[in-house]
Amino acid sequence: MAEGRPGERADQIRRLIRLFEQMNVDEAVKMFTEDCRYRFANFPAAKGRAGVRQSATSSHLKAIKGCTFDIQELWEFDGGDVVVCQMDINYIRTDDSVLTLPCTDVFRMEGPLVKDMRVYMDPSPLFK
Amino acid sequence: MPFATRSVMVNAPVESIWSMLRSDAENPGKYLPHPGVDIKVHESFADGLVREVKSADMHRFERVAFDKNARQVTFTLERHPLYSGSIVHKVVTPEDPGAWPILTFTMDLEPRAADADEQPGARGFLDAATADAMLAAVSRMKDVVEAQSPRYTTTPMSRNQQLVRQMFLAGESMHVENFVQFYSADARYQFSNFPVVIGPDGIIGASQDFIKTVKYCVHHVQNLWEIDDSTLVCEMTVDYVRKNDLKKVTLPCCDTIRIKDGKVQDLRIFMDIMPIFAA
Repeated sequence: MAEGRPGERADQIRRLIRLFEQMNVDEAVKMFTEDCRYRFANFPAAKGRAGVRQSATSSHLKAIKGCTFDIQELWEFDGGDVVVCQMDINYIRTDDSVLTLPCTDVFRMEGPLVKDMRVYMDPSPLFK
Repeated sequence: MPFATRSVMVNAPVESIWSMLRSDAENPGKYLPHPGVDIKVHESFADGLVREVKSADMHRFERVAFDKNARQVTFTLERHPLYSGSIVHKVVTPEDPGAWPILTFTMDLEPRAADADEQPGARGFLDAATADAMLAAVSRMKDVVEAQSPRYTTTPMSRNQQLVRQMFLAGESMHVENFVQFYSADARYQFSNFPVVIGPDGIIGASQDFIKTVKYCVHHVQNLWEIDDSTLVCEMTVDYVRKNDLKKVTLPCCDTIRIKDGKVQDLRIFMDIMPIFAA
């Protein structure tokens, strides 16, 4: 059972998602544990903060200049150990066209930090 | 190409299920009735036997192999003029906590001649290799095992948990008509980036490319979380086996599920399915 008040982890995830929206990877990686695991769709899991930084800044982010996340559901459970976030991600391409893709993230928490983040989505339209 | 596979959850220890699978193959008719079917064991070995199965519309010899480690009984056709291949009875220990063992019957035959399916001796095979016949067979085995062995779990699985797991099992056989029975008439079904469809007919229409491509799939549930009385989240990997080259692709997947009055009201599947369509 995690310590802290109910909803505290969910608030952390809201904050993390805002940082991703701002593409503020420097601050975002600080919300992960040092030995964290980050898996984006079918790609192999990245390890550690450096792995998160590399995964979050490479690949699909090159083709876009911005993104917004419309959170539809944010569930914190297992005493705050797990947070699930269902959302629509709006990717703004370099030509200003918007691509909206559904996504669900599953977070395992260690205290206020993320020790495991799994991104479930089909990012293939980003690469076209 | 007679092929069918169906799985059910069995509320019994894996050992009891395995023991019954083996006993039923060794002593046909003793535990499960096989009406209209005459089965004779001709030879028996330490880890298998040869038997002859005869009914009004089928006659076959089969070599039966017991694989205790895999908890699998394989019935391989021997010298049959029309088909080669096998029937497999298998029990799998679930990977996630709170789940029950899964019993699977699969019939996978290849015709030995182009017109095999049209021959009179094919009828019994073709009738057996349907999703409904396979479900009836695997359900009979489940009923016998559950009646004979002490109930496995002391805390019963919630109705929503059962519903979701049964829905996954129904989907594995690619028998979409059965799968959609789990959905309400106005259910919302969203498969990744594909357009949202509504209700059973919408799901059937949207699934056609998938059914053409995939022979069967297996869900390996890692976590099935109940958020509240109507909401579940399922984290899993899914094995997809393609029809054309039998290539197996294992992909991570997360579903969010809403249930209302015993039917799925909203299912959202979050995954990248594209590798199954790639060369």
